[in-house]
Amino acid sequence: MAIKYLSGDQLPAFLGYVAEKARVVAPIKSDGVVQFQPWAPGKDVELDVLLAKQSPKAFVFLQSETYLKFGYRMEEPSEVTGDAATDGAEGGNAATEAAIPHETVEVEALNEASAQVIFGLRPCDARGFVQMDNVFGGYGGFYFDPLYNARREATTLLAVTCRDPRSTCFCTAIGGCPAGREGVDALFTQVVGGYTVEAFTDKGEATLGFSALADASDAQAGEAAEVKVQATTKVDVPFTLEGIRDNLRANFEGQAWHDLHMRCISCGTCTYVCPNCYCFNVGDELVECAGERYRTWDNCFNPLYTEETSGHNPREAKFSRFRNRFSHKFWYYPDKYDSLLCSGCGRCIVHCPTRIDIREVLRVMGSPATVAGGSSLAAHGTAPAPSQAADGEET
Amino acid sequence: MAEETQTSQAGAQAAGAAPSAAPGDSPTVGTAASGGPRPVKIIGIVCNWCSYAGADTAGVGRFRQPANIRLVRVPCTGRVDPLFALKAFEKGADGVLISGCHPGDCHYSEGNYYARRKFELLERMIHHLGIPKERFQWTWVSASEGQRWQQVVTDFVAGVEKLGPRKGRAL
Amino acid sequence: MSRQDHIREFATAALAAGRVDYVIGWKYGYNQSEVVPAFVKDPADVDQLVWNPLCHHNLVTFLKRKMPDPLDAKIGVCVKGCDSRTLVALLQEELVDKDRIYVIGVPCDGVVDRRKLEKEFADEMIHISFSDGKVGVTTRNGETKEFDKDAVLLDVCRLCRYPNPVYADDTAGPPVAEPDRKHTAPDWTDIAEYENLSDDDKQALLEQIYATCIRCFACINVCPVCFCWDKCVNRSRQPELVSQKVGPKENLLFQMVHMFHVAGRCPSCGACDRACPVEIPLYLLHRKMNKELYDMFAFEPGVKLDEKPVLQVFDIKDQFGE
Repeated sequence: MAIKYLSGDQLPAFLGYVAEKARVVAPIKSDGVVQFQPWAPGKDVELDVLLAKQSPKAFVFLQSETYLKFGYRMEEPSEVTGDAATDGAEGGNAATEAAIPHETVEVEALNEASAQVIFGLRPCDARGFVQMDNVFGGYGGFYFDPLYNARREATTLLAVTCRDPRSTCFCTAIGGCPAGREGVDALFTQVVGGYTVEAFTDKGEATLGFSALADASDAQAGEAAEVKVQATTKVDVPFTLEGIRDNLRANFEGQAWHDLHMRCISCGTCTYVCPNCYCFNVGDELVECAGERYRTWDNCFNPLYTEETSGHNPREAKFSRFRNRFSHKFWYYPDKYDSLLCSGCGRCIVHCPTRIDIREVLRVMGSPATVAGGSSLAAHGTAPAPSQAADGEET
Repeated sequence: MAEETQTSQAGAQAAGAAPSAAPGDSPTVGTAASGGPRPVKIIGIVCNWCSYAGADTAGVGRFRQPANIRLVRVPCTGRVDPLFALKAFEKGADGVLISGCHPGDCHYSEGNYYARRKFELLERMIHHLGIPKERFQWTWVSASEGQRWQQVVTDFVAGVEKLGPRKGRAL
Repeated sequence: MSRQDHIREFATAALAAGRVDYVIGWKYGYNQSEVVPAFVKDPADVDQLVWNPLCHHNLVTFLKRKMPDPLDAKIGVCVKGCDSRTLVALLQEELVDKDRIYVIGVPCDGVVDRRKLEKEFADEMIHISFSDGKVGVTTRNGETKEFDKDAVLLDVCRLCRYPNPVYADDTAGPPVAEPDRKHTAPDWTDIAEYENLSDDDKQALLEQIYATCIRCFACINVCPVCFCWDKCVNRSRQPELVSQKVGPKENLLFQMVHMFHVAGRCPSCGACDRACPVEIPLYLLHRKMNKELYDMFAFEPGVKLDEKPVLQVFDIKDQFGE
């Protein structure tokens, strides 16, 4: 599909057009905090701030959803006639059962998914959905999650190119970029006076029937391409992830895990702001004879994350949970799905209460085992820049 | 915000034949049958040795009181975690009443001394959340004070009914 | 000698003498606009440690059960005034072994509110410097701006009554001027606006605020006096006392349970406010709680080692509820 152009002052009208057929979700600033929220005409979409506090995954993979309602009910005796009544062993057929008061369970499955369009997410956010698709979408026949998939099917992702990446962005190290296409249905790029719009999927194209969308001129297309190139050069990644899987395996017992994790407070902030993290827990809440089953996000830093029914907890030590998070993202998950469970958005760095830096962890733990094995953390430097490494250590 | 006011006005109207402070009044006005709002639901957290026994005494003595209150029995008010009262509100209780032994009479000697401090803070914090003071009360009722139990419950329910069922937004 | 020099000196001495396995202080984070907790094991690394008005973390939280690594480590820790009160609160209940810690007290004249600064710029801050009551900020694209430090202080710092640590083994430099606590009552004006709201307005505001909570537990975990960790009732699913569902009512209940369980030990250091990734104004709850406790008992948590938290004890002559 040809590149289109939308004039900046037409953006609210465009969103209004889209809103006729789907709920629109966009980054909106409330009380100084930018979060993805349902949009309504009149609300300003915040695109000057690079990243909303959280990724928009909560609109497809709900933080808390009740998906089953159940109740126990006593059935009064009733009569059952016909063949079914007398089929089966003596004393065990439907007629005998129905003749006495008995308990039944009623279950109601809930799975509501209405059409929605998420506008204003970044390519790193979109990439997160692709990773969750792997896990929940039956990749390789592993597992199909009907709740996630119903919503995912109903969701269109309209991303906006990052013009001005932060110092904490590292999408290019993961194989992404400020104009990345993974998971993106259509990409908007800010140029003078408005946006160029490129649809990559049928879903994306389907949202672009808006009348004020014209073909982009060559100059506009050229400008958009330039914006993308410039933005990519601003992403500063002084480390490589080549061989990260093998290095993580080799460094599993490394002392550096103990050093790196010390300021971690074992909360769930990084997990919950991450576009890729997908762990969840299931619970039942019952009041007498009726209840509901719900699932909520879970995080691998929760001390109870791997607590087993016996009470044994293999990851009771904080450093082991810390090690698990990075190992999962860059070793266990890639082993299964051939992709990294990270977008390089840097939210975990910016929102971590103690600013634990995933880049530092990757840089240190990605080093060959002989380097990371016994030396102190200071030998690897405390900031991402390799020039600060002491003792001539390679990074 | 206006909802609460409307409910309380409706509640007051339905409670027109309102229970006065005098003991012996009929239970539950404003029932669905009378066309008013639903009956208010009060959770009472009472200690086993004094207040629960006091409630028993009221029952045995056939002192009539509103039936809106459901009792949760604890060994001692010292065991009461502020969480209990807050959870009751979260689950939709219209009012919470806590009662224990008089200070000095605690079956476990000191439990209610600790409780006294906790409940004072709890009361202040409940108001801070925007829950009107008529909806939470803590007091002491001894095992023999059947009539006092009747009075406490009747007054408390009347106060809650004036405000009507709660449409709690935040807790 | 600056306080920073004092800190480094004390840390070096403690490490060299084997008095501690590691010292906890502050160091720069991924750039010089962020300060993070530092864990120094080797005297040679002591130069990482800094002291400036970005050092907002309450490091006492790393002394809690299951936090030290190894679990039985001897730990040196730097504390500001507010931090020292949380340490005293833990010591009052013997939850930290006094013999296994070495405390470097750091008199503090206020920490800046990085969020206030952040909201002044569209661009990312990469460098923050301090000089003579001024705060200078540089952004990634080269924009610079200067502020009066007083204008960008944390709110809890503006109302601070204990700027000097109330407990320390060594103190990093001379004390700062203290407010006249004998003759001035604590200032609670930061919550006055909320307190004056009607019941309905309070409920509406709390609903709005707590709808944004993501139950990440950052506030719980960063709090030094929130101690139960894996046994916390807020986390428990067997039995499940606090709903694990995420919604405004459940979230507020979760927060109130936490507040009540730290009542009498929380000095309103504000670490929870700063840790919250979605900027929930938790101070509306803990400041009010401390106001009421002060009103009831004239008690300020974590000040005297030989006191006990006010809700953990009783006085037969208490007059409440009569």
